[in-house]
Amino acid sequence: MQIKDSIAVVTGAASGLGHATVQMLVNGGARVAAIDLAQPHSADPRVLALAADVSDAAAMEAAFARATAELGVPGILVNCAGVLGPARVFRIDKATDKPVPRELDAFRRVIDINLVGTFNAVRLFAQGLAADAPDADGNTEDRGVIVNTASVAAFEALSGQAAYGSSKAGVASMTLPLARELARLGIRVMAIAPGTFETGMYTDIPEHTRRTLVADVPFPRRAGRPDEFAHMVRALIENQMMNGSVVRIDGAVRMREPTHATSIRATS
Amino acid sequence: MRHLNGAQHGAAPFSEIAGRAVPGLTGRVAVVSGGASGLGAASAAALKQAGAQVVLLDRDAAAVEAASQAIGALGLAVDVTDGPGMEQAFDTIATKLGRTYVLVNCAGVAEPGSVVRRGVPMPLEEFRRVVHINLLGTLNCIRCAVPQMIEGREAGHEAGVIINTASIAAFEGQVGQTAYAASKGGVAGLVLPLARELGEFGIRVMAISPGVFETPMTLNLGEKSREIVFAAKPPFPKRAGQAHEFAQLALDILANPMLNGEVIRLDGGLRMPART
Repeated sequence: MQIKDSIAVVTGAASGLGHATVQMLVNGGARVAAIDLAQPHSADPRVLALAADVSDAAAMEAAFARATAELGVPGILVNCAGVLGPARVFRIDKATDKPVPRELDAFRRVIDINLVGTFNAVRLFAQGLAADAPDADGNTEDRGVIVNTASVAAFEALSGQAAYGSSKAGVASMTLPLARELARLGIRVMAIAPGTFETGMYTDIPEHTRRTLVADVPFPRRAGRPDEFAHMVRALIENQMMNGSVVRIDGAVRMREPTHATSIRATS
Repeated sequence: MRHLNGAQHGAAPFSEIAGRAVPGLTGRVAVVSGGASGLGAASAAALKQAGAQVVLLDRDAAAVEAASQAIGALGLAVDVTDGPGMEQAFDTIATKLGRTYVLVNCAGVAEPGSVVRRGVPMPLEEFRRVVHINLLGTLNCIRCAVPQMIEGREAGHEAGVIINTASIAAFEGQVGQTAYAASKGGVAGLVLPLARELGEFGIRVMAISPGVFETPMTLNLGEKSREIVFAAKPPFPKRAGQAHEFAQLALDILANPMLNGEVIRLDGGLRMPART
């Protein structure tokens, strides 16, 4: 699909990977509905900034309705909204020195934003193209392209990332069934699995862990830049044979547990 | 041939990938094995258009001569399984054009065959031949290119990028593809350890894993094998891939410095069943 003159929706658009993706799409000639929890700031007339919680069905329905009313039926969806939400499954209570389980909401929030939120945008995006032309069988042009953000944590999550890792593994695993299901609408579905990138999420990681993460990257030995993620998004949008798979972009890193991993007592 | 569109596999429509900028590529040496046809020829043309000095390696002397003249590249006739021959070819490249910066390995063969057919085991040489061309041939080019990449590294730049051709058969080999699948599985498998080994020298190692593409390799299969291969249709787009789409991904890999140690599927979402 060509980016020029396309209509795109980007979630998590206010910062990091989402923000860089909006810039790439706008520079390529697209009009973009930029969705984030708080309405992203943009003075660019080609950007329609919308505030919505990706895990909220009604709020996202309203956001897609506005995007469609103001820009037209979106043909590109890039899901970047996500949270790290580190949470070990139990902690040692300081008063009693006994293990207590982590509250369920800590896991639910990560799963709801990263996995359910991604699906929420996908279902509304697909609905737009289904309503636009219900029978697209035999159509050889791309009618839609979806790029979701998984993570290398889908494959090698670290301790404390049970929720994050499983939410991203869910994003990775729904790539193929979504591609198979949406093929009849002429929609391709891909996922990118970034390694360590310079985003707000990355600066939330403790400094010593960040040093280990970058030291482990074979080449280039640094965190990725959001514009490199956006470059990958562009490559996937523009290549019609890209469908149903997950592409790692990580400088060949495979995440390993830091050797100086602190004890459960110290980090609970 | 009813699934094939012969007109599509000739001159690749490079207008679609024209203008794809690859920072730092202008004037650098890009070597393409299997460069006289198919995925290799398309990659070579794309690299040339992106500003590289291109070298085609192919065992077919007449074909490599014609293909290199067509795009203004250096053509060298060499068998990828020939150790000394490949060393000589890379010496020639360094002398004539300079040190290798990009290596795209496209040389490969598909020779379907059952492990046991009518009670007779597959001749070991059949298996060895496929593994030697596809896997050992890939390693042969890599070992000759790497020293040039390391020596030719320019300050502040990558030393080089290696892009190998795996296959969907590395993950979902079909009945009769044991040798081909094993060889391509080997290509997929060498990507991460090589990326780890060569990272400290500033070299990236990637692979593209194509699904069913219209190239001489697939079009020239025996009629039955060809029908089996092309009967597999991706979910979308429901067609075989074209070589220029492979070349476009190769340029996108070159241009993105964070892509390393990964095998990228390029198959329209196709997952091969045991038989088609």
